[in-house]
Amino acid sequence: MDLTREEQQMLSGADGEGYKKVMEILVELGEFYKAKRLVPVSLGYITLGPTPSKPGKAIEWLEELVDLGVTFKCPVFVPTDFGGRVGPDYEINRKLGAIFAYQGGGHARNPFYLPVFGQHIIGDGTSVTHYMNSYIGARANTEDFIGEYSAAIVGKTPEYGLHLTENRIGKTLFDIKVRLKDETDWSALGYYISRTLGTHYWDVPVINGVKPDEVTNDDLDTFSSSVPAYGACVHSLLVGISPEARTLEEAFAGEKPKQTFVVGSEELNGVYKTFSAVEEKPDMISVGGFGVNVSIDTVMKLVNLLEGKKVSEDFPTVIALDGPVKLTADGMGLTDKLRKAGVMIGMSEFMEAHNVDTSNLTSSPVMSAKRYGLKNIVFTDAKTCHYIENQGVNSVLKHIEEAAKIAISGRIEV
Amino acid sequence: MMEGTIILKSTHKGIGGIGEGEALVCQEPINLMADTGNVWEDASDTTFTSKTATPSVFGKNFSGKVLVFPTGKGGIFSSNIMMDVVAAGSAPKAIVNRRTHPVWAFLSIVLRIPLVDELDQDPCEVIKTGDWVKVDGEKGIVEITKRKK
Repeated sequence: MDLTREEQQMLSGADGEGYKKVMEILVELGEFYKAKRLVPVSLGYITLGPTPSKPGKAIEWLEELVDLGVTFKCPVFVPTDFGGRVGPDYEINRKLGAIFAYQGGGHARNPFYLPVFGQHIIGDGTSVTHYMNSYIGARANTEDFIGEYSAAIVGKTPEYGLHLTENRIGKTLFDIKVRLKDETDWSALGYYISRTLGTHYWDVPVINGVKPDEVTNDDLDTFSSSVPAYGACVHSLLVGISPEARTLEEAFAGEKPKQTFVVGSEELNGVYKTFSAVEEKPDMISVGGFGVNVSIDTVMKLVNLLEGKKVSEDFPTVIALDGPVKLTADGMGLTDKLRKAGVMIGMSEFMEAHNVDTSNLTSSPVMSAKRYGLKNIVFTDAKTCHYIENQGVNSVLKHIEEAAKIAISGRIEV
Repeated sequence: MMEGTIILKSTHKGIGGIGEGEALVCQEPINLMADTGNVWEDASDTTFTSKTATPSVFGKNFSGKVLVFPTGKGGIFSSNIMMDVVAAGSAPKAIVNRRTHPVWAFLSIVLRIPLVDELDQDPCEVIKTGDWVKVDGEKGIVEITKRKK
């Protein structure tokens, strides 16, 4: 890799051991991916996330770096929830110079500070990375905390993967022949594409046939959560909406797609069938879940559906909301209305009811369903359905209207 | 009887030093965060627990094995997990991919787990679970000794 004089200086240790350590990582990574150079990153979204052990080796690794005196070289936004406010990573991020202005890591619903077209950024998890690549036209790869913190400390990242124009061009075509009626449908479409691409997630999917005036930003956010769920796709092109795909021709840069998939109602319904009920009685209903927090539109829909009604007391009904959505819902009196209907607001209320440390993300019911004896859970998004299956949970995917009906009646139609 | 040794070569230098052990071949992409559900309770339990995401290795664990799989998925917390797995003495001996996802490249760099990808034959086809595999990350070479039948 070609390094500038300043970069070579950092690599040699002239700026201190901490910078040397992270620079060595970036250079080895860059050489592994045959990157020619480092490129500056304009900002970063970083979520350290949970560790199996407490405090965990990841925390120790970062503490060592902080002790060596490094700081962030670009604005870095970290979530203020799941332990971030009081946990050991709060002190680490504070010392590094983080901005605590981005509630609810794991999805792109909340960042108030956005990159602009063409900038190289640190994109947090797969959902945020997909959103920024696909709808802003910023450039990021999915990396772990090691890559993210290293890039933020150096202020640069190796130019590989989706930082390069040639890797951002459409390769496969998904022709949409079905109307997507809500966020759950968008979530199901994302999962269908994710599964279809399988291990070839770098074959950038182009989604054609959706009317731009029928799409909401919340649809895009929800789609961003599920399209990487099965196989790590973090860049797609939605024709008419993605800045790099104003037309179908632009999406493929004049080339022909390698493969074309038609998505009709049969394909979309197939996703709902994958996550269908085997038992009548749910153990929980979770609107939002694994890094998928709901939109204000979903909150309003649920409030309307539960107006003057009570949810079943046989199992918890939880809605996961955070950041600006939570503040708005509070301000509009919507969370009060949901509470009155018997809905728990946020996973933390569920955890408090079980006397569990709410700052420990791994104790959340969607990460430790087994611990709470949850075997049959209704969700309104496909990402959570997919992720929770590893715990032997039968996940059921339903539209918000159906989820509300089940919450009231206490029964799923099998 | 021994079926001889097969050598696979990478198009480029890999990561880490040399590691060898029995192969565990997974045909699906891996996300430690979602596919090894027990690590959250016990960092030494690396059993694959997802029947739908990783059916080819369901119920098997990768500790002490050369883990062969097509690629990683997202699961940005996979490195948090692998750091604790390594500290618990349950690391894989080496990693072989068709094409390495950045999350796995970073964790291999920091934890010095030998890793190679982009080989001249598909490792998920050539290598079978139980084969003895030696991975040279420096040279980008994989040496396979087929399991006795």
